[in-house]
Amino acid sequence: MLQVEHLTKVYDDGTVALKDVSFEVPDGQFLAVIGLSGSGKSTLLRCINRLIDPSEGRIIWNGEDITAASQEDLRRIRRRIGMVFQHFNLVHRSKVMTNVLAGRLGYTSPALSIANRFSRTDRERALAQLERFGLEGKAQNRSEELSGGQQQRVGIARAMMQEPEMILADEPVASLDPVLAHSIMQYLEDINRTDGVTVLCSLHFLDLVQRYGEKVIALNEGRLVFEGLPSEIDDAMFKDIYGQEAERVG
Amino acid sequence: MADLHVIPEEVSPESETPPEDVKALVKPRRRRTLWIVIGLLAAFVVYAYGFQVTEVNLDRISDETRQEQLFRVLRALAQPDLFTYEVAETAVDLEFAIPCPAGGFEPAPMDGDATFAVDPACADPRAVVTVSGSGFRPNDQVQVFFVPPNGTELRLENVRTGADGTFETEARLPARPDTEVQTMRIKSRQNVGSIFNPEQVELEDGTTVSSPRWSQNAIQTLDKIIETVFLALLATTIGTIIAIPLSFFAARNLMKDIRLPPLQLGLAIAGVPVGAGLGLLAASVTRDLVERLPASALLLGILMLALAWITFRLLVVAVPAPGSGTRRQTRLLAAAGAGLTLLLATQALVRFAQLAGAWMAARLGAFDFLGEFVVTSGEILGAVFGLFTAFAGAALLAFLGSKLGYAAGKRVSDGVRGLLSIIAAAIAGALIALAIGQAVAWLYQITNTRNTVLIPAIVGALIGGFVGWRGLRQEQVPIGLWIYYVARTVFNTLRSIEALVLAIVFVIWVGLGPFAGALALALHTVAANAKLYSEQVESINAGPVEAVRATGATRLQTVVYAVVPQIVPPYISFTMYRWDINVRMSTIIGFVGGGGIGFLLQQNIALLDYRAAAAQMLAIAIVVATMDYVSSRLRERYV
Repeated sequence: MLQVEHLTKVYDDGTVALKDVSFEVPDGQFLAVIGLSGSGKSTLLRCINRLIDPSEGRIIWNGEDITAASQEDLRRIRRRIGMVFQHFNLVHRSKVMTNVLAGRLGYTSPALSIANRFSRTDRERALAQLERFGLEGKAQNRSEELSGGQQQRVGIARAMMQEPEMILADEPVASLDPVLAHSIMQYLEDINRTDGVTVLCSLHFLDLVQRYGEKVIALNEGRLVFEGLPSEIDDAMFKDIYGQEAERVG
Repeated sequence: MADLHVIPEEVSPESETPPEDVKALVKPRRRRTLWIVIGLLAAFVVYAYGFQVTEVNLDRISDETRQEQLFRVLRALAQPDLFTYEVAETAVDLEFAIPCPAGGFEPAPMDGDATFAVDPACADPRAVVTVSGSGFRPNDQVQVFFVPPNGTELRLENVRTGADGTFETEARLPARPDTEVQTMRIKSRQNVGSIFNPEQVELEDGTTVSSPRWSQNAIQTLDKIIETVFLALLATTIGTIIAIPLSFFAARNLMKDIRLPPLQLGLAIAGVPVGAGLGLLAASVTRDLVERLPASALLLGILMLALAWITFRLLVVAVPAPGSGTRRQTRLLAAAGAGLTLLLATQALVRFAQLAGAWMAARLGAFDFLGEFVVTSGEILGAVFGLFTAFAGAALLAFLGSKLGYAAGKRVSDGVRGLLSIIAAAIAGALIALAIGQAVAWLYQITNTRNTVLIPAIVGALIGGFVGWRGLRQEQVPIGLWIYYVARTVFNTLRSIEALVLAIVFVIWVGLGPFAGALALALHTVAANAKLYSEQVESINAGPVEAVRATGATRLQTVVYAVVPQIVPPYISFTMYRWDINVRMSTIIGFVGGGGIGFLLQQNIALLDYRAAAAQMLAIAIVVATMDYVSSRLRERYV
């Protein structure tokens, strides 16, 4: 269970990215986060694994206060939270295998991993993940040689290497075409259903939300403006979230 | 100026009240024109003054004697001194008499293509005669000699033949009257062989050589250009090795997130001098220990490898994956053990290098420099290692200090923590001020301890305490940014000192020669490349860094997995480029005695031997062009 309580983030330049956001995510839920660009979706997801330190409020995960964790505890928490990014965030020049193995860094002794040594189990696990996401035979390729859809699958494989209990997906399909978008979303859905991993996924397109989301929260200028089922978003609600001039597409 | 008049006419509105935006558009244009005129006037004054101070003078450019000198230099430069030729000399003789015998004098007729005549055919001593010849090689230097019966050649004139192979010159005869028939002789010299078609020539001592062959100057130039390339290579390597780790400190994106509460920071800084002292001590103790071992390269080599392996295994125990459940005591013990074995392993390596190098040098004959290299490398490692342990000890104790601060800060109340913070910050401030005080005292040879110890300590403690007190409010001191600014300042200062000046300093330290040049260029490389590298670190894609951090990686792991792969190509590229620059710079370094080809070049320019200097300039041009080509090809491949 993830509990977000009165979360507020004010950046150093005074921008208020999140304002008093509270919600709960039960284990195993597929939560869609929607909102315009700049509404605070990315900040919210990054506060959960503290890539960004929140200004106020608390985030409690399985009874542990993430916001108060020490650096060492934080690393232990982070390794159970996978993250998938809009721009995939792979190291382009490294091999696919190295990128996937990076997901194990939280489990590896720093001394060993600096010498680029991963255990045989980790390597086998990495190959298994690549196979699961349809990337057999790509292990020795440089990441930059892969297509966008393939890169995102490497990103998901990296997250899965962490044996995560939760995945934060920050607009995972915003850089992909619609066909690929569905393929990636189906992988995330599969991870959610088969592995029981909680997924928090921010999305642009409402049809994706309604197709994959179990529950939806919507942000507008840092405030939580909607919390409910995807089917509850009607035209009036849509305009509340996206503004009065917005038109529905797709 | 015309614009100024035109614009008001355009402005003059038909309607009484022009729209606001038109007004706004028109007014600034008038002002802008005025500014342009002022700017042009200012530029006029600036350039006029510039011409005056740089003494621009067209008369000197067109002065004919100066042009003549210039052309001579240019022609010399166009004929680099690269080859020596054996010279074949041809002589043509004509009978001559001083003074004229009673019955007049008629020389025997000459045969062959090249002939000459003297008018008159005989004359009194010191008379001026006209010598004219034909059939010689065109545009050649010939010499006119008078040869008395004893065979001594007295040179009368040098003369150049015309395009048709003729010449004519006046010559004053020597005062050598004789009753016998004497001789006038014309000599011309010719280089034997050409670059494209060398000839075998027999010398007077019976040996044969081929002509032309490389001149002494060419051989020296080759020797020195090789020295130059290696000097630059060494400087680049040393500079790069030092610059890479330093560059991380000057990268804003890595440093800006490093913040510490004042208590942790204060204790960390207090740990620095203690750690450095302990590090030095540890280095000397382990060195003594290793030196007691028997002097066998084999034994030391095996010991070194074994110790390195143990170090690695211990490190894995000491820094396990988070949450592995290894007990703290075990970890600390393993860390201490790893430190000790690492020290011993390195000292063993130093000894090993010295012994193995000496062994190699004794057996390799002509390649004994390889052995010498191993010995010297070992010595350098030994010397640098003391410094390294001091740094490592300082870093370790700073880390422990920070940990202690963290632990202490958690256990006490806010008020006590505040007090402790201020005390720790005051101690840190006093230590920093003391260090500065000692540096100043050493530089200016101040012996008054009140000024170099007491006052700095008090002032530093006050400043530190104040910073600690201020830091309490923001809770975190941005120490990373401070280090960033210090590193930047040091690099910029060092970079602004010309390598030439550094070379002079190093020549004073280690004497004339390429070693001084290599050190000077290395230091300059550190400053220049650390800055370039750090800018590369700053411009990396932040995405992968974020992604790796999100997996629970430590800061060091993040650097290794997300930062390093991104900066390897630009680092290679900049290092190649720096080698290229260093080759060019090392030509200049030689001017102040820093070794390399510049030394030869400067010597030849001073001797006005422009043909020799031209050879060196040619060599530099070839090497620089080759380096440029090779480095651009390598960059294409790896970047």
